[in-house]
Amino acid sequence: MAIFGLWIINKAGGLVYQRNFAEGLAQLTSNENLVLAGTLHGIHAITARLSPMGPSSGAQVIEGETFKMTIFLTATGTKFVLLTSLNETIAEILLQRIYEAYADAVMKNPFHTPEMPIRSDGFDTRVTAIIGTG
Amino acid sequence: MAYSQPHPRLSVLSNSSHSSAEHLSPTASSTRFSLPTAPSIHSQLSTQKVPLNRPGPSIYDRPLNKSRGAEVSVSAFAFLLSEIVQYTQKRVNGINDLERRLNTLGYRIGVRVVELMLWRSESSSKTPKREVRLLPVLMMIHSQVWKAVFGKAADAIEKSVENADEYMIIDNDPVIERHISVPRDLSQLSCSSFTAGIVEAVLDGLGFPARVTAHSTPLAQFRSRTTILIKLEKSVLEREELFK
Amino acid sequence: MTINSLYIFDRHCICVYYQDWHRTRRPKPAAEGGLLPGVSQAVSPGTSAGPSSGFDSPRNTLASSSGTVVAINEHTNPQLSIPMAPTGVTSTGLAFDEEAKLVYGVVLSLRNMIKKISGRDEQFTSYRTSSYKLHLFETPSGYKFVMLTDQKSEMMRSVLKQIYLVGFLEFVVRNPLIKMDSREQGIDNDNFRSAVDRYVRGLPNYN
Repeated sequence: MAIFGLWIINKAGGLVYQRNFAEGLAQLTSNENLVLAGTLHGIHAITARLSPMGPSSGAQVIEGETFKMTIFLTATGTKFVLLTSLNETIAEILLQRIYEAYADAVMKNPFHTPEMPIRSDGFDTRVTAIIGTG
Repeated sequence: MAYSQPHPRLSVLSNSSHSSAEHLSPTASSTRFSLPTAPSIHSQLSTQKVPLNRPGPSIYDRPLNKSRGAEVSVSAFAFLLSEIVQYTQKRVNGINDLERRLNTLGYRIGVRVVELMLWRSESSSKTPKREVRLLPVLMMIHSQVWKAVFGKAADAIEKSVENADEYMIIDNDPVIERHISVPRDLSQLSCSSFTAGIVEAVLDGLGFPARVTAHSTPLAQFRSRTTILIKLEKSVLEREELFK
Repeated sequence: MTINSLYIFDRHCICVYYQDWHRTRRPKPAAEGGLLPGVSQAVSPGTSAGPSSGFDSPRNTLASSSGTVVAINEHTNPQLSIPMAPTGVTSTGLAFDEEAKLVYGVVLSLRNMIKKISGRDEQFTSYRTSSYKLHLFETPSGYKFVMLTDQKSEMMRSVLKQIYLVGFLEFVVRNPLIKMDSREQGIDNDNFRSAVDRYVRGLPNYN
């Protein structure tokens, strides 16, 4: 059970928050992370169109051999992506809690501009608390 | 003299460079406090029957003394305050200006708070009383005003050891700062200036003119701990001496 | 538990085989020239155009009743073509060749992304949405087996590997009439198609 990282992607596909936790994945530059987030944004839109059986959401969990990405899409189009080990069972719950922290510490913070990178000590603290206890 | 004119802080639009002439100018103050021009319409409307599909009486129709169930959602308030700060920030130059404007906005709330609070606590009393001594007034602000505005008492009152005219009210977790992360380039800013404005208005309203400012004094376990610094006017201290 | 479709792509990013089972949203037939011959009769261009013209294939002498067809043939053997779902079938609004390109694009992007994030040669295995799950198995030679199932299905890589071992090696690799890696022909043939069909229908999560 390990949590590797967290991404928050705005509705235009820009990476507005990125944090690493446990070691285990490649150390990427911020530019590489930005590109990956943009790619994920595009893929997410396509996956919703490929459904063989009626309407579908975009990808919710993407799995590799040793880790997975759990994606939570909010009603306003913001994506929360948690990178964890495959056997992490509470990734969805953690994302819900992170979303709550985001609503509190980011959206209610007068010094945050919507859709722009998140620089908020309060949010950092809340995320640390959530991942720490998770 | 300060009470013959409306207090300058009642106006959000007041400039940082108040000239004393502006304070005293009756024209300036009268334009600021012009009444709605068509009161007759308002009185007619208020006599009309409330439509049946309304869920309940509006807040204007509720009894003033009832405070239970009249609380405001903290989230709604947080969003409103966030917008207030953003709006204000766009229209100022520098931190001092921003704090002063927040203080001004708080002042407008404070004057109403003190009125309403005293009405609620003393109007039903057979022997309504008014505080005239400093310490009871500070205690009242610390507990009653804080409860009326934030739903909890403040955490401490301290008296400055260096300056006899300075008192501090300390809140370990101010409600209005709960969701605010001040960026580093504005680290001197305390959004509790809004609270300072409320305190200043309450003190003013009770006859204790003072200059009130807010300062961020974080501790390891209380990140947003804030000190409200009250610097009383000389006249207050002199009056206190007489009471002794 | 449902299995919906199987795509096989070769290392040139070309869709060389397609088969599906109870899909309720179907793609439109591929545009002319958008799809190689010998991928799937069901989605080839002109499928909806009525009777086939089997004569334009030089190999259609194999389509005699005397033996089993073992190599490509676009428009014969209707008994092996995919049974159309009876009712409630809607269109994805996409032509099959476009759909195949999207599937390939998603798979390739995710594969690269997983490699990049992990920092090692790690394989992308699957993703799931609210209504389906996509599984990938890639052979060392670069063939990609992609299967779409309902979202509750467990790992299907072993199933895809089995299709590779039993069906693909047996009836495609060892079949001299299949032009592998040709960029001109799909790998569809009756033996392979029926072997895959039999195997998939026998799976516990087929329904």
